[in-house]
Amino acid sequence: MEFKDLDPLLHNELRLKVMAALDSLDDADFVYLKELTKATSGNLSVQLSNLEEAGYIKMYRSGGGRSSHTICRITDKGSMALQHYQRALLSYFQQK
Amino acid sequence: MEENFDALQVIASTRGKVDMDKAPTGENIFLLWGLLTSVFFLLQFVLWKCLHQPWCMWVWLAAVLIGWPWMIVLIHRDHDRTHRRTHESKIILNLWIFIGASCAVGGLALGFADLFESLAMPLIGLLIGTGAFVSGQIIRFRPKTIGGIIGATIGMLSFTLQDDLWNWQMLTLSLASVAALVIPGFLYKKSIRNGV
Repeated sequence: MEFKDLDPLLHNELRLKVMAALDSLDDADFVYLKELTKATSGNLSVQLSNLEEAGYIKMYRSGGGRSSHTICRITDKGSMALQHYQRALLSYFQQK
Repeated sequence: MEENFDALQVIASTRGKVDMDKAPTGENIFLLWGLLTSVFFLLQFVLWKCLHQPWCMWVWLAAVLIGWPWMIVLIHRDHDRTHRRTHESKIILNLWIFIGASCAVGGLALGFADLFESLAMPLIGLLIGTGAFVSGQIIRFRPKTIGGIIGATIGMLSFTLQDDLWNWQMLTLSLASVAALVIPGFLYKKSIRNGV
């Protein structure tokens, strides 16, 4: 029986939550993702940077001064990676 | 295998949570453009019919100069309130940008082809009605869908106002804007406030 490899970057609860949320939205800011995932600012910030480095999300700053916030958006590459990850998981159950 | 099952659950529950708190937005933008278009069609009618001003079409430049920056402010305010933007709101925004651009380019093209008096207004009414209908379908708000059908019907009926009667098209278009954008806009805002 052959199992597809799981993307190690997505095989992490917090990163997976972020990716699933961003895939369902056009974009979301840091505050929303923090509330949704119940993660600490530091941890979320690190995981977002990891996802950005892999090209799965894009981050940009909107506004200026005190009202400035970080906005995240999933990329086509990220969306495809999430789809592959889901398919790989489902194939585990089908082969079981 | 336990971990994999959890991963699928994480995806499903996160998507579910995001869907649950997809707050409706854009109610003020519908109202803004509804009020602006209905008032400016009325103003255009008064300038043409009562004051006989041939430059009355150019008041639309003022409508864009007022409406566009105001809309940008409302979009930012919506984003600051909800901290996210949905696919639906982006589709609706792009749809209306396309409709606005089509009205502007189409109006100018018909003007240069000397067809403005017979075709421009009804086509603009049809576009506004269609935009409202599609927006209503996307946000699943029936009054907006019905308003869109009424607006598009008024636009089509204004094709019958030709020759000496053509300037009345401006008045019917004002009515189309009220039916397609203003009334559904107020109802949508009210339904959001009541949490329906």
